[in-house]
Amino acid sequence: MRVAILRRAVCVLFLVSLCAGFLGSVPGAFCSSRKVPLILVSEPPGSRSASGNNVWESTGFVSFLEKNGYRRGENLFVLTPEGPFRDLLDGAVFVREHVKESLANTQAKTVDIAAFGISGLVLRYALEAGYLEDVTVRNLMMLASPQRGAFTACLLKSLCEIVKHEGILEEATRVFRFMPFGDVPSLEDDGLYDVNVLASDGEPAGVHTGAGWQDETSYLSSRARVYEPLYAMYVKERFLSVTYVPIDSPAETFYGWLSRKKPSLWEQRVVRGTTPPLGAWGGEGTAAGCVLPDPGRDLTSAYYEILAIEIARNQYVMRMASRGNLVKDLLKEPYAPKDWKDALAHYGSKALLSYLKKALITIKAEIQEILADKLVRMTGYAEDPDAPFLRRLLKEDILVNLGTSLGNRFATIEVNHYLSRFNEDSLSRSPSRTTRYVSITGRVSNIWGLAWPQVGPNDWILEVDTAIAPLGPKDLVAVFSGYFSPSHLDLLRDKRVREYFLSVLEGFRGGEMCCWPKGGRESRIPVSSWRPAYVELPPGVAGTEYDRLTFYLGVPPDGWGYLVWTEGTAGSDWEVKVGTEKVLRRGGPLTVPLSPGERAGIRLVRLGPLNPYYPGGKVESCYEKEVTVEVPVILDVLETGETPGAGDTSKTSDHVVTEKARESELEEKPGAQEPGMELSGNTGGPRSGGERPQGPVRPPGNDGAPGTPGTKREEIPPTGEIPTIRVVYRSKHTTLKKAEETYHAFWEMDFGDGDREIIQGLPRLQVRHSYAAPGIYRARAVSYDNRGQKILEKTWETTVTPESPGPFIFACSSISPPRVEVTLTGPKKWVTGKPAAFSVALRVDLPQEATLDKVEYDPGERFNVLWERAGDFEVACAVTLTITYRLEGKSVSVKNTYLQTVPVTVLTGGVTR
Amino acid sequence: MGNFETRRYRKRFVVSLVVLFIIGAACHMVYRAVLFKDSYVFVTVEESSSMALVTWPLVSGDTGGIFIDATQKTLILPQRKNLLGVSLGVYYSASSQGVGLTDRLLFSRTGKAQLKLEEPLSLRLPNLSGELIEAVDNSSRVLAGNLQVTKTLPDGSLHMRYGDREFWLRPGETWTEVLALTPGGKKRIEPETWEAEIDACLCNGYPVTRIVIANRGLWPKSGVKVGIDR
Repeated sequence: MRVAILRRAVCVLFLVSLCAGFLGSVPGAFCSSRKVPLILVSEPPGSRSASGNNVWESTGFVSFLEKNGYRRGENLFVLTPEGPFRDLLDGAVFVREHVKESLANTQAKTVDIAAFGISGLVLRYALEAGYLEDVTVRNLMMLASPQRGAFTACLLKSLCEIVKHEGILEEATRVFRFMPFGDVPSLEDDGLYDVNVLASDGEPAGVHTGAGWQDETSYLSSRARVYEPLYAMYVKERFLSVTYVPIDSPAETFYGWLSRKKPSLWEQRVVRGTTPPLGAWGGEGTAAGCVLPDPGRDLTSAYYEILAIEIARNQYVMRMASRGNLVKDLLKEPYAPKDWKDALAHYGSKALLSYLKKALITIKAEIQEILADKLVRMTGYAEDPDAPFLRRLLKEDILVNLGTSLGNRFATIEVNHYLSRFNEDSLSRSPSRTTRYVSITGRVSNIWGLAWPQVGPNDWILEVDTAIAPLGPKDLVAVFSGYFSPSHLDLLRDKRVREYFLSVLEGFRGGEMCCWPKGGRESRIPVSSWRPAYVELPPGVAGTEYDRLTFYLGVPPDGWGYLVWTEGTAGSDWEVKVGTEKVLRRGGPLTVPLSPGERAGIRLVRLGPLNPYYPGGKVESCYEKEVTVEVPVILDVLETGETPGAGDTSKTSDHVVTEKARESELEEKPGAQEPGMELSGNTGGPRSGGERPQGPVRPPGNDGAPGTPGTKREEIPPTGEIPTIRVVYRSKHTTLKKAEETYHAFWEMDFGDGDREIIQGLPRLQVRHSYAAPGIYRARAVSYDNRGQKILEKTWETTVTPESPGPFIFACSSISPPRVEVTLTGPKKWVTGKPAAFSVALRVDLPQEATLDKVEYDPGERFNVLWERAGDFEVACAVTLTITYRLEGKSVSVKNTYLQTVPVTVLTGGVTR
Repeated sequence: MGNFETRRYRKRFVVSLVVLFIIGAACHMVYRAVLFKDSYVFVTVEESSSMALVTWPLVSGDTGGIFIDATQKTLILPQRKNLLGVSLGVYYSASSQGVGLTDRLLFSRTGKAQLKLEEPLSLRLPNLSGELIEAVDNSSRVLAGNLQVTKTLPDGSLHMRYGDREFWLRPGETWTEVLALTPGGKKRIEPETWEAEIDACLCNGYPVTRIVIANRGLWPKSGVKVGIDR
């Protein structure tokens, strides 16, 4: 019997192991049917990926997916565009048709789509413009896609325009150049050079022709005619003048010179040229209308000015390079030939050289046009230089190198009006979007930075910050860094990228979840710039009717803010409850009411500029590294009697209420902040000297501060260490404390015999007095401070006898002022948008009888100041010393406040967004 | 025996001289390193020509990746430099028609430096068949010779030699010379009439080159930073 049971058990085990072995050997056989179909979209042919058109296959990514359970034709489809996209619209149509075709046999209604390079932008456009309505896209993964444009497209566009206009100039001057007595018309001949006009600031009206828009080429030509004489003036003044004294950087560029010498022209045409020449585009095609703007309505006037400047530079150089004619060249160095053969050889070679020089210009112009055409096709950005798709890929804004000084090294110029509008629209609709955007890109050594310092960290083709799609609550970002890999070309070969890609598809990258301690109501959650974080109600609490969470948000990192929202379950998925999302620019407590079946989401969102430029000459990336902030979160259970309605009200105006409460609290305080200066730290009150400055908000504890009734909690250390003070108006100072010192000013001396005396100064009193007649006298000395307040009083009883007639010495001590040196250290010049660090050093020399009890700094021993506008400012700090004096057996305490102020010149940091 | 002794003494004498020289040189180096512990003298040499560029480099970036902020006395370099003992920094840039041709930065520990200005510059661009053609016409660079910094004093003064001329430049001083190549040969443009003369040269197609040497004074070594990432 036992043997039979044993045999059966062995048989069962054998069968189980067989099944397991079978399952193990074919992992995809059972898994694949469960996977959501995945569509991979390549870049158009001729793309930069040297390994072929289909980057997914050539990099082995398809094989990788097949090894992980995907089956080609079943739940994995690869799309390769047949040629470059003419425009976003053509791309969207291509995507719609091929996605439909691919999914025809699968009956799937939900898909994941991954697109590489410029196809990522096309896919996003297709999705947001409603071209993919037939399917639900769960994840749209965009790898190295120019979501906010590509700097390489800007280089290409500028190159194409220069080439085109050089060709036009060459053609226009060809006849003159090849005539024996002819010459290239000079700027004066062309009516472009008028010293009187150029000397004044503003637009040289005399040379400004054709201000209206006919087409892009003629508009650029007319604008280049404005800048060419200015460029000539720049060359003469800056490079050929004998009286030139180099004061600023030798690297000052023409843009820098223009902004300095022609501020009105620069301001009117470049700084304020934020709309296209034909006016702001109505936005008909951002998502629904699908009408893409024509030239004149898509790129800003400022960008056309920059292009015109580049064209003008080129035309000036070409004009100078081809000056002279055959006759002049022959007669340049007079030569007496020996015979006719010698004359023929000498003048023949001269004539040949002269014509070669002329011909070189023609050949160059022709070659360049061919090269530009080839280059555009090679990149895969467009089929020809005039294709609209190239325009769509221009960056939203570019940095122009002024080269003047560190603070003013760059200026931000808005370029792609259409793309900015498209992305703004995309961002505003992101909470209601069901598709999750996943932006993946690489970051390698910035070799472009050697030649173009305005190019931020990149993957050799695309800057990191421009590869990140406008981020909604649920979206993900991943940037993989290395010295040489993963670049744009081998991003898909990188193991980390592959693992991340797969983990997103398998749902392991949804976001960080808050972990509640067992039975606890307090926790901390890491809030990230790359992914969302969620707080759900702990299991024991989820059944109650109404609950609320309070996030104690510290000061967000520079340029970042918090996005907080609520999600509810829709079937098996969580969905953002539209209207609950809030963006917080500064720290503070934020209460989020939660119903059962809801959760709160939080993440960092970028509010400052992309590719921020900091003094030090380096353009940074805000997305290349994950920024995380740990936020304390406390769960409150509403007491019986609190109505849900109250929760509803606070649901929409929580933060407003909090802000108002803070403001009213500040109004009551004497040291309250003034409008235009926000204290991102606490309310600006003094902090003790030994302590590190505290964060913005302390969670309510048991010290009588407002808190939730019935809850006892430990004090959670606040986040944020150094206070940051935002300054908007020039009149605002960083401290509102006034200098105040208490010290002895004068003595009132009463000798008791009717003789009285006022003695100025002398904190250590020593007076002699003689009495006229013997007797007992009561002498009194009273010390008064600098405000006329009594400090101390001392009395003496003096007995005068004939044996001891005096004189008598009366000695007493009062408050001697300490010697205090406050040094405020920080930058003298700074830029807007970047916190400047200041530190206070204190040196105190106290009198012997005094002890220092307390040191308080305002706004802090170390603090940051962040200016929001340029100008001349003063940064001030206050140090309050509490000093106790031991005087005549008594203790006298005084509080002295010392102020230190430093002037700071704040410049616009080149980044204005 | 006597000869042997003499030879031995002579050898000792030579060795002693060499050792003394080495010690002297080392002491001098240490002395200079102490003098220029935290600062160095910074001088900029700008060469700009009117028509040395025969064609336009289509994609032109900033040359070299060196950035100078004269107001903050800061240098941003593409890579880290060891400035121990450095007493002199010379920044040389050459341009034509406002387009940068080259730039370089030299650091000297001896306080001496030489810039071979007369060496040809090169900027090569591809032609139709992919071959590189020269875009710089070196014959249009009108120079008086090479430039030498022969002495650097601790107060920031420099002794220089340009061509056949020698001069001192104290901190904050500038030395400028504009030469034009006319049919009559090299001609110095005078400060009083420079504008008319330059206009005439540009009009007639005569090459003009300006050299500006500026002694920017003592700059802190702490202001030399690395700006390009990685």
